[in-house]
Amino acid sequence: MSAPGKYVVGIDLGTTNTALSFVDATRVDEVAEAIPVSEFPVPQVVAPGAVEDRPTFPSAVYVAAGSELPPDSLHLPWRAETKTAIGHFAREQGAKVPTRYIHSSKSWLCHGGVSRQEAILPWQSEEADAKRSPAEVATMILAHLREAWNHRFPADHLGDQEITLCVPASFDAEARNLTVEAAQRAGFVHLHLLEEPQAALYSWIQSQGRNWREKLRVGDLVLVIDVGGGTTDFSLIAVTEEDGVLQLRRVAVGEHILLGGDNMDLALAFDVRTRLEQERGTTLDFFQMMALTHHCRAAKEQLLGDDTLQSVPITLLGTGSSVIGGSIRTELPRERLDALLLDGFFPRCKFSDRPARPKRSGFRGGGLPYAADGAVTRHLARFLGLHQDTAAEFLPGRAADAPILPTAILFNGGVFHAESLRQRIFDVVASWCHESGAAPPRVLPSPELDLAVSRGAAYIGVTRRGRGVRIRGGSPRSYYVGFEAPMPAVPGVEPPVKLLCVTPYGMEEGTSRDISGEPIDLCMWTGEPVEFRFFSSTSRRQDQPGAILDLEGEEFVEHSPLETTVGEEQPGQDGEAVEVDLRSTLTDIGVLNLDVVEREGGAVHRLEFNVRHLPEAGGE
Amino acid sequence: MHPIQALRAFFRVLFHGEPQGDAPAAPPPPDSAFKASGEPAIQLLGLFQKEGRLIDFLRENIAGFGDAEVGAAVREIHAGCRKVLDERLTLEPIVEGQEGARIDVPAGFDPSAISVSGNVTGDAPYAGTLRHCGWRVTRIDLPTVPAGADARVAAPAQVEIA
Repeated sequence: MSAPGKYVVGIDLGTTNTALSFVDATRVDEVAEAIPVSEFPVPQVVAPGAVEDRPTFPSAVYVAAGSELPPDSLHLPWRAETKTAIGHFAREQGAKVPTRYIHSSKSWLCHGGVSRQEAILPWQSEEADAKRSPAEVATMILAHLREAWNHRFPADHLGDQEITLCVPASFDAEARNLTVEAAQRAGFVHLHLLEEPQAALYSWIQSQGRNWREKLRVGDLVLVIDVGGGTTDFSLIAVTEEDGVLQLRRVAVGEHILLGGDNMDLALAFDVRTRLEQERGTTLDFFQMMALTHHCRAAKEQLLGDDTLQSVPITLLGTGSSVIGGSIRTELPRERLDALLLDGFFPRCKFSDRPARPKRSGFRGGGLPYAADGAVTRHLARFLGLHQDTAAEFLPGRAADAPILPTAILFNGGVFHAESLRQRIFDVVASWCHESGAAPPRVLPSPELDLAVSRGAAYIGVTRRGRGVRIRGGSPRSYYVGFEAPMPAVPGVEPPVKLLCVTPYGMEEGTSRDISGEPIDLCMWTGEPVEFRFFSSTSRRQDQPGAILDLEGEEFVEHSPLETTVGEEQPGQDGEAVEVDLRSTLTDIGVLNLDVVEREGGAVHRLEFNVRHLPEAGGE
Repeated sequence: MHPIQALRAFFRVLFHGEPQGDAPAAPPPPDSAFKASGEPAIQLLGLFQKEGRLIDFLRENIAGFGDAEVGAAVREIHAGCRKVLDERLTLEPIVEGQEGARIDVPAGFDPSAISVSGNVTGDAPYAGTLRHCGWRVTRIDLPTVPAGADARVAAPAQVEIA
């Protein structure tokens, strides 16, 4: 797809904040390999009746009831608006009126346990007019960016520019497709998807200019650990060599872990609140609890930044007009911070440790599937443990009897502003290296913990035009359709489910695979919709298209089923049998398509996600 | 259309929503939008109140509280008011120099910008000791306000709906 635009744009559609960075492609200095990346300050409603540019754009939507704000409170410079606010004011107002406030919608986009196209947010709100679907919220946020950009650059509309939109590496095919469709509805035409940890590494490369090749060596394995506001995302990137040129290859991505900085601040605030209640019988009102969470974040940063502090005082002013008389004084002591944060979220652990398994409850659709174990380090141990074989394949020089551990770490996400948290992760990985006789990893300096993703995405947009290094990745998961194995009917026994691999791990963008002939003898009846169960795995890299497996173990995640119909329905008649093959395509954009292809005539029928049926168990 | 077909068509549209490009031009905001407040002094006071609770603090009788209580609260009030000052105003010293240092006040100086005291005899130039560098506001940037809002409100009453 050719993009005529003058600018190359990267967008980080984050769980808590959205950011847009761009490069003026006419000003790129090829010789110096210097690609100047700029940030786009987003105009947004910051107070009733006021729109201002801000460097951060909260991914937050407030849907007004109508009379709670003065008239003309929500207009934008480029159009009249009376109903919804997006950004800073939405977050502030939403905190006061939670039933009309949509936040963290991205976490819902990858939640297989709910219907992501239905207006389910704000979750559990009774306000029907405020409800939006997770996909719709993504469109609203992106459309705001488009309008704001067009307002500032009327001659270079955003829809005409080449856009790289970031998604968590752990997003499955359905979440990726939903993201692309949301972006297309927002008017983005020249679009690519990029995994966020890759974007962070690109940002590091951009910050190094041409020197990056001196900082990485063949055989290096870079761990990108990205802990954002709401999610934790891991990727492993191997440094290999082809024809004497350094190559970067993303060899593994983690599962979707709903665990982030917001959880950590809340944990501290709840701990302080409990102590206030138990020791003094003080109960906090709603505004004080909000203020407490805010203060705990600041106190956390202070304690983490200064080892000599033993405690940080916290004063909550009275919320009535008596400021001092109504104030509550308390503190966040270091031992609680260590117990909750360092030992709760980043405990020292062994390489063989694993996170606690999620408790399965009988209820479905009961909110987001938050991580059952809050320990980022144990999730990391599991991630590295799962991908030992993969790493071995790309790094053949390593000893076979010792675990393969990262040789370099790149941190990303606002949580890692705290040096001691970076240090803890480093210490834990270094201890694993020490046990296996390897050298401790190097730490790649993170240029911008909050903006690296959008900056890296803008950078890659330029290198996509043929300049600079590219990380090769391909599909981070293998995909399978499920079918029931034929067996004699036994009442009460469900026939076992077999899986047919349709997309191998690592399948490159812009390629497709046909699964035809022997292994599957697929036949469909014209006019009847056929539904396939659909699965994926982030850890099975050996399965080739056409391979048939048993549905066993915990390696498979089930997604919404796929559905299609061959031919037209003929009322009153039975359909005819049509022999079909399957084809899987990973598009240039990064969208996975599955098609049913008729053997005779070659007619193609796209398999669509059936959003009305939900899988039995949502993906982690 | 068969209900199932219709439903499928519906979801197909949802899933494969045609790229809309730039949607038909939306109506522009009304002329009444983005107006400066008619009462900028009250608006600035309101910002100090919102972020730093300044009005509540100045109105409170603090005689009965101990220094520790007042001190702890003032840290909060200071942080909030300072944020408003930093965001909304740019303040620059009128005279560059060290307080306590000798300084010349030239002939024709602006007496609204430099206040002289002590042994003032005859016309400038004078020589003296700099006691305070002074402040000049070089930028004031107050948010616009909704047209219908009551400009005399420094802080709205707050009511939590049950």
